[in-house]
Amino acid sequence: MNENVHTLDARGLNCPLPILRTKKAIAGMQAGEVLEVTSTDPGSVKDLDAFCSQTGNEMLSSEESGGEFHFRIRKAG
Amino acid sequence: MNHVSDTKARILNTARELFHGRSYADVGVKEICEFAKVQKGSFYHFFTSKQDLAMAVIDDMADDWANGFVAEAFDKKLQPLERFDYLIDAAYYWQKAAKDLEGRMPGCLFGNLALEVSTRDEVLRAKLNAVFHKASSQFHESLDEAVDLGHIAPLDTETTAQAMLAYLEGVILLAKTRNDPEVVRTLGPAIKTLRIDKTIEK
Repeated sequence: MNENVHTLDARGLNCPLPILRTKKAIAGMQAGEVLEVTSTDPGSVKDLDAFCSQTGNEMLSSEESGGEFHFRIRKAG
Repeated sequence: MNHVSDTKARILNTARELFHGRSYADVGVKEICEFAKVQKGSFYHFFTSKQDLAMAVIDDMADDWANGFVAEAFDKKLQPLERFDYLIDAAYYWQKAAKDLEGRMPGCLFGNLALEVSTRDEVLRAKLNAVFHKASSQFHESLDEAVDLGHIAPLDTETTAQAMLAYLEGVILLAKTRNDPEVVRTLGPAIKTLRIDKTIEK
């Protein structure tokens, strides 16, 4: 199955901008679609976890490599 | 960044953190210089006094907000009332991130300063009043748009905008007192429900 994947580059943005951009990106997606977010703000790890648990969206993966944080979030619904 | 603007930026950032984390009165020029690793002489090259520095800190933070989360929340592409959800999210995640890092919820720098200096420093009080006025103008514009689009019934948009700002600052104050950013998440969204009707005579 091919997932419809959206991407968001939040590198260089500090809290709370990565969350606000993620929320906007997800609002424009269909339920079940996946958003890949890249950020550099260490605070975005906890923030995006909290965002997912509060909104019901699913954090598929959350990884760090080379000072960047990569998240895959599936929109609830 | 050249050396001069780097030194000034370091002073501004240090002062912002110290004023926000503690208070205006509690932090002196000597301590700011020590934390920022600049000589006192350099400080007075850029700022005439601690008050002058506080004015610059307020401008600096207001600019950061205007170009950062305020621009993001008050995005014209969003529905007018939806913008307040983004504003509350911004306040909540900001305060939560700061508490996760420091263990204490810092509150709103402008609100903190307003409470502290309004009775003792007329210049700073007026400056903070201008910042609050600008914030409520942004709320006012969105409310006017919501009325024009028929999303809400006509109301006194200017007074409602001020009530919304008062509510937001009050919620942040309560959350700070409880040292619990969840208060912002629980109470914040009701900002959209505030309504002050038009009075016949004003």
